[in-house]
Amino acid sequence: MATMRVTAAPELAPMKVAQISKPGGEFEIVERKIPTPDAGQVRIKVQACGVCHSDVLTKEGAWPGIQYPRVPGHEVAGIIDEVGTGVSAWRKGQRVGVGWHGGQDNTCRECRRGDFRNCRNMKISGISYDGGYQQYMVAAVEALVAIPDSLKDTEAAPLLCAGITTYNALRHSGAFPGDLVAVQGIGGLGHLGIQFAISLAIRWRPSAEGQKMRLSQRNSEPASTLTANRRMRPRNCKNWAAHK
Amino acid sequence: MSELIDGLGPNGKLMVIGAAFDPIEVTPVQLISGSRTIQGWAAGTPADSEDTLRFAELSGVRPMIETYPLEKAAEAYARMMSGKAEFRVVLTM
Repeated sequence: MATMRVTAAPELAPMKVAQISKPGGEFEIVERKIPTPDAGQVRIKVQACGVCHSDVLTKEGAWPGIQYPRVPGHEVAGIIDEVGTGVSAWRKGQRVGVGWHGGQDNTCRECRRGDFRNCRNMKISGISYDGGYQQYMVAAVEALVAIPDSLKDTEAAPLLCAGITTYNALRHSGAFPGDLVAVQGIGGLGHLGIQFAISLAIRWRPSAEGQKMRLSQRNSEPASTLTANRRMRPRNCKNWAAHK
Repeated sequence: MSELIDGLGPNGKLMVIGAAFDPIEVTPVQLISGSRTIQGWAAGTPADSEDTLRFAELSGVRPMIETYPLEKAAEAYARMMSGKAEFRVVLTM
């Protein structure tokens, strides 16, 4: 008997998601219907999503009001593959990302002052709605970040939480070129914080001994400065011995 | 983070970005001497993210990553939680 091959519309085909179905639950890989963007939203074909320690909030239910099942992920890089009604500033095929700031209400006192970062009803991707641990996600336009062509998806994704957090903290810290910063913890955030500090001509020190950063060929010059495996002791730090 | 406070210089600032739940201990005297500051900072707006991407583009700053396929999300998450990843774990679809 002959079979007919039918190419399903994207909305009908299933997609894979990694979800948490209850606080403290394990990751489940399940199939879901590809979501459709509402007015003011776009659908993103996800290419990469960073795994941030804050995903523990969704995994363990440590953030109030999470509705399960929930798909974590707030370091998303992908391509817009559908736009909802009323979306004019973003187009299909455009490379975009979504970070921690997943949307603001535009009506609270902070938003009315333009302080969207401190919106009282801020939405967070992967907490307030399903995030980037899936093949397609839907996000409101106010959450979207345009990704430059020179950055790969896997490079852009970590910059949307680990990167922005360290870059923004440094540039709002009051540290000027030539100043000294200490970076505590050389992990997902710290290894970027060190690179940003070097690029901003801010001297840095590790805040604990024995932490190593692997040299990168591409950034061989700054990376040589990143080698942090010698013992260093910030001046005036009386309690430094506690770190040994 | 408490141990870092005595390492701050005059007018130094401790920018707190690691989302931990354990308390930071500091005495008023530690803050008053040297007019030190402790400030928290959460990510930023999408416009700030675009600044970050542009700065990375210009400066060559790039994350160092370990990639896992989406199907191995549990493994990727465990790797992140182990603290041994060098340095960011990234899922690819």
